[in-house]
Amino acid sequence: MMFDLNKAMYRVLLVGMASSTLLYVFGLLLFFVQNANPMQTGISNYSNPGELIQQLSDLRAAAILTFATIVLIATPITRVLLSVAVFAVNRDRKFVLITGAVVLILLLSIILGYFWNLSID
Amino acid sequence: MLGRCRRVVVEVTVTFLAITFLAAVLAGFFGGLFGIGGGAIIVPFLALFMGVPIHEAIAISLVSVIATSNAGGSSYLEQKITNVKLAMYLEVATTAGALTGSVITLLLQSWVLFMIFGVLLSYVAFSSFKSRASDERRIIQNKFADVRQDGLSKYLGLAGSYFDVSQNKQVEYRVKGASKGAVISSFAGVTAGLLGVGGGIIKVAAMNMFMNVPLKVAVGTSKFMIGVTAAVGALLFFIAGVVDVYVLAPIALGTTVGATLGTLIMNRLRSYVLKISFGVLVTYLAYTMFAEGLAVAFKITLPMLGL
Repeated sequence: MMFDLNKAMYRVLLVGMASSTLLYVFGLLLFFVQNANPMQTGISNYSNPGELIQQLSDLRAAAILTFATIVLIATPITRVLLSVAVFAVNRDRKFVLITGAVVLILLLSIILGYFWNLSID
Repeated sequence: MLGRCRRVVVEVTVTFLAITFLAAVLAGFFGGLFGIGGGAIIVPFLALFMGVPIHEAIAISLVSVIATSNAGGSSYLEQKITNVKLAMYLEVATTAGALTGSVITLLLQSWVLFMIFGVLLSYVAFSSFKSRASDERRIIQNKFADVRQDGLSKYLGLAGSYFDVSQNKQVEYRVKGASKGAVISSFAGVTAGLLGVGGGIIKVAAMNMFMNVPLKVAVGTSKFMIGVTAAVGALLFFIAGVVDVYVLAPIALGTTVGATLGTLIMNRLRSYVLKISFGVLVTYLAYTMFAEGLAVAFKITLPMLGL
């Protein structure tokens, strides 16, 4: 069963790497085509997901690059979630606890980042 | 403070993107070869030469480190070099460390931490030169399999084998020192969150020296762990809004290209060559850390070698 998990994780990493790479290339091409202002930063406003989706459908360079970044960060997180699921199915309690602890730490970092963002606004 | 720091506007031109991309290819290549994320090259490059504020450079580097881990990590998985269970065990320590590191970044002055890690890297460099031929000797004499495991390593079933291409041999090994490895790995995690590096140097050294893990397995396993370790800090920085995607894009692309190249030739090299190059790189990084610390704290400028 360990072999299957290896293979699945390999696929997750590969798909994540390929799709984020393609999105970065696409976003940079759009950046040149749209002749974006070189003095403007590519820092998006994450407090408004609707705006990001709107800009994505408008094919704005910064929005595509932001989406590429979300895919990139989500890739290792997906493989952790996958391994929790596989260990749970296999009733490998030791490793459900171990990988579950990593998921908790990930959640904690989201919460801390969110509150810290609120505190500076 | 991260979010409050003065926004220095970086002019994103074609030249900026091209230079940044090429530097990232180089950083990713070394990352793939030595099991580090390349962040140790990217952070000083962005902060010293491209005019990116240090906090943003750290955040961008940490996100790009995920790219090298995805590229390198998947390749080592395919070559069956990675020890997945060992990685998952140590990830608890590295992610907890990374979270701590990201928070400390906000609380401590950076020069203090540059100095601390300069000392740590010097020690790792010293050790890797000292024991540079022992990995091949240990493989030939079957030393990696012939060891008494501690209770925790045995309980978690931490053992494995891989095929070493340069030695043309299936290498069996049993992991020991599980708790010692976790403590050192948590420091590696702190480094990651703090300085935007993968912390692979520390993890590779910890596994190879204290946990009886062959060098190539240590590199592959470290590369695999770096992704989720960096993701913890990257999430925090990303949500905080300090990641400039225009600067990140060429860095992430470049490190992916470089890491793929580095990983492809890694298993063909002999451990001896690998370890000497590793020692040279770590020595250089230690110097860079000290120079950076002195520059920030006392405005003393040491020459930056090779950059």
